[in-house]
Amino acid sequence: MKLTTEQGQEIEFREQDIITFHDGIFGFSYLKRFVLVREEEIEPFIWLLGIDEPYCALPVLNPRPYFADYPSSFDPTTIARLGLDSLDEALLLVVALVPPAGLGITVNLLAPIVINHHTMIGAQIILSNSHYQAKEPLPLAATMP
Amino acid sequence: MLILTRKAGEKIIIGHEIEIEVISLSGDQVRLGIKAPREVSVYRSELYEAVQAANRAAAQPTREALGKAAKELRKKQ
Repeated sequence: MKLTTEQGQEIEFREQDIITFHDGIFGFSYLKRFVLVREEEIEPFIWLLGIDEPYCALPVLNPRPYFADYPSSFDPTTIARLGLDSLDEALLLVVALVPPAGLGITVNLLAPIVINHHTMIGAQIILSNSHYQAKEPLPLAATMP
Repeated sequence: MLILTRKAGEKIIIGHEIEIEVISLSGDQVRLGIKAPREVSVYRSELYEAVQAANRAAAQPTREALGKAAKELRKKQ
């Protein structure tokens, strides 16, 4: 399967790479199907690409190297809803806000993206009773190797 | 918008499965109890809107900006 991005880039993916977000993601609830696209030049970021029209591309990254012990707590019913026994089984990502100059990146720790990569079902979850912010500055250096 | 008047302890029911109870009132604050099926998510609107805005702001950064940010992060590791 193929997709051409707004920037004219061709992305190829397989049917089994499609992650279904039954509730979409916030602000783009019409988007239900996504793929993760890894590119060397944007590592450690990954594109989370909504493949339904009109298309949407969000840079996401694994928060754990930057925020040890994140998230400090997680609602067990949410984990169960995704068919998971614990958060450790999930692919955990956060959306990054990258300013045009590329500096001063913030990440949305308030609403992580959780993906069950066995069932390919994902959801964006608001950590309602937490101290996490939607615009948390991303430390430049990872806290863990 | 439908507007209903309720007292503490009274409820409203939405559809067949969602129940909202006024638990208590104190000053300008109302405590609500919400019963809903597991698949129905309940949010405080300010959090919901903050996350919507954050996602919309984060979408479609330029490749140049993202590439530069990525390079900066890799450099510091």
